[in-house]
Amino acid sequence: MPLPRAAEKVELLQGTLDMLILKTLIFGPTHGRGIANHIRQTTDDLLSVEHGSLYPALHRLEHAGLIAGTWEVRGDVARELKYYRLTAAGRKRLHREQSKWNQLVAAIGRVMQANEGR
Amino acid sequence: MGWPFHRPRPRPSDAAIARELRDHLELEAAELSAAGLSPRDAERQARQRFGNVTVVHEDVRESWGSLWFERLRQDLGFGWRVLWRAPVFTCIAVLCLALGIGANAAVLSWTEGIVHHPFPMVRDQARLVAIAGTAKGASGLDEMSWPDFTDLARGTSAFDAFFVSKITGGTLTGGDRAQRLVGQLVTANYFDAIGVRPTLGRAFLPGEDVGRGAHPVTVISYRLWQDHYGGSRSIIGTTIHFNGIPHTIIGVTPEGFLGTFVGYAMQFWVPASQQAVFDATYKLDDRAARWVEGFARLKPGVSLAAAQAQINGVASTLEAEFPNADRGRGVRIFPIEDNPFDNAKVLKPMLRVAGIVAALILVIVCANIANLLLVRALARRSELLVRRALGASGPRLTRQLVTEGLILALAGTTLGVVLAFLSRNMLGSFFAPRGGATLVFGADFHWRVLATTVAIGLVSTLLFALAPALHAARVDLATAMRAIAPGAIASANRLPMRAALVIVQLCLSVLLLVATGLVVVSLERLLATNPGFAAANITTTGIDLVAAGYDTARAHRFHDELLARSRTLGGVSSVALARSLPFSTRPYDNGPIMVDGYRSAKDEQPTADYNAVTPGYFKTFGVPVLAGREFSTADADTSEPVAIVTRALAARYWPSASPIGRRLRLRER
Repeated sequence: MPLPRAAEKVELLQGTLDMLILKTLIFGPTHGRGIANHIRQTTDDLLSVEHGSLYPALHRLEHAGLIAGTWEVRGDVARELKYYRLTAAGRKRLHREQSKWNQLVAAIGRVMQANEGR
Repeated sequence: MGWPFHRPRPRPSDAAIARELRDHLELEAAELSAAGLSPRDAERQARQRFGNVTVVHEDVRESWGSLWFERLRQDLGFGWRVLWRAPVFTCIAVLCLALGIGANAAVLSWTEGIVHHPFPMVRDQARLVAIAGTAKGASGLDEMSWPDFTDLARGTSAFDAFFVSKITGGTLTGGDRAQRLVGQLVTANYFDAIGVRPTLGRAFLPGEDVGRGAHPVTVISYRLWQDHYGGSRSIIGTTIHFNGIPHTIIGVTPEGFLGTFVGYAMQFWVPASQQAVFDATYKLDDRAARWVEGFARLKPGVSLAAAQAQINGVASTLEAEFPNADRGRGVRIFPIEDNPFDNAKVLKPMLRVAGIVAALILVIVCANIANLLLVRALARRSELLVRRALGASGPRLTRQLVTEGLILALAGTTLGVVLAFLSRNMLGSFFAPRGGATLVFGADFHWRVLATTVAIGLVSTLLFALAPALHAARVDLATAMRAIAPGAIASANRLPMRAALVIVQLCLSVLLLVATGLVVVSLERLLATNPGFAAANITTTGIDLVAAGYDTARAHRFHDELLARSRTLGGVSSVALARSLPFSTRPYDNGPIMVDGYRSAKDEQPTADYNAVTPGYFKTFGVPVLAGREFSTADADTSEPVAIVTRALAARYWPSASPIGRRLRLRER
């Protein structure tokens, strides 16, 4: 059975969007558009974040105090935009999510790479 | 830098959210036009990629916590406006619902007030039990004798209190006219046991129920106090005459207290020691005279079965100790819902039927309103479609329509409860007054009743609003838009649900009509049933010579004179006197009998109801005498005593022989 053309686009795993947002913000404050672009570019267009879920996720994280949003003028755009930055709580959460994620990847990798007939 | 602690942040304003999303679109459009698209194409493509801005906006707002309250407010406001704009529909729907829900609320409150909580102002009715006597070989229940009851109270520990309340009638004399009153003969602890304190004066004192005629005191009802004494506070200590005997008024019960007999609002209470004032014979010392309607309150945590077991123990002791009076007798306790004494037992099956009818009516009402809503949904099709097209989700529309249904149900429930409350006292007016007193059946709007009614309202909302709402929300946009294009309106037969609803409605209505018809027919049959005597053309009346102060000899002369004179009246074909009339409030006397040639089982005590009548009684009532003769004027005090028995009694005690010439004897009399 031929596989569907999975390589062209990958669905985000449930619950990983929050982690990706937090990770993106570790490189400095940016706006929603910037986060979406960063994720798309770092994954070579493999992952593209649905705007329909990006903004609700941003506000959910802000509500939870993991990120903070402020309206300011920065860098190349000559007007006020809403920039998000990581809070201390967000940083802590990111570390936790990251180590959990690493464990998960390692575990899944071990299962997937197990030799047949062992 | 960051926040050291999680602090709740205020939700950004709608303007701020809109601005953030707009910024996003503009940035994306700028990127696209930088990549070579024309500004217009860039903007369009950015919008296309983004999706429905309104929906994202709402989702963002929802990220800041649940919005259900805000949405509910929105929906309520909108629903209200929609309903306001269709006043005819709204009025019809609310009125239908009010009738449907009101009927249910009325039946519920009557059931609460008559069956579950029958005695207004009496405390802890859930633990109250009624105590009745049983006789071996007899299927029914009867009362207990006073000595048996007091022994029972002394011999058990499962109860907090025992008390007696026996309905009785008295003639209030004094002033220019006599007035018939209903009251209760009670034990001295009555008011303490039921937790009712007089608003004026005092309750009975311990010991006031002992000694024949020794304590001529009475507590009167608030109503009698108001109507007869104008609410004067100085009536305490004054005298009132019951059946000619003076009694001192010692107290007035609080307003709203009706006594402990469903169907009547009691007007006075006297201690049991005054029993002979209201009856021909004094029965407090007579273990064979069964007249006591007893109650007791279970101690907290004691089960009915445990209490019954204890009662059984005392009953068998009594049976062994007093075989003459108590052979074959038992005692049974009943939760107050199954009280065997008062009118509640008659109304219970009626209430059950009424409950089913009310439920059916409500289902019909719901089907009706669902139908109306479906028609309206057709008319509102374009509105709903536009809202769908503008991004309202299916569930959101469903919620909106259900909210409209909720508004209707809320209005209907409120109005229904008001209707039920206004008709709370109407049940009594369906019954003819008995013994000069109007029947009172009060409804009780306990919180249980209100909660159930609200639940019924909610369930009916589900019944009538959910189906049309789901139907409306399931619209397939594309086909619907096409269908609506030239102003076409879908015809009714395109909605299979409507047809189904009409069928349901029709079936239920027919069912209800048939059921109502059956009830009417059986009531008619009941009225036409041959009771065993000719009720047509018979006029009855009652006289109370004891109450009027006649002694036995004078009473006899009065009786003879009365019969002789009435016989000569024009149009009178026969006349008779009897102590009790069939189906009257005064029950037949009952007593143990000894029957010639009948060997009763060791634990059996034959008893019989009996009545004292004059010659001509059977002729007057058209009751055939199957064998032997009727009473004649020759059967006097001085001649040999004679009796006429029923066929049922003869068949039981002399199954294989003629009863004529046999003898039976009323024992202990």
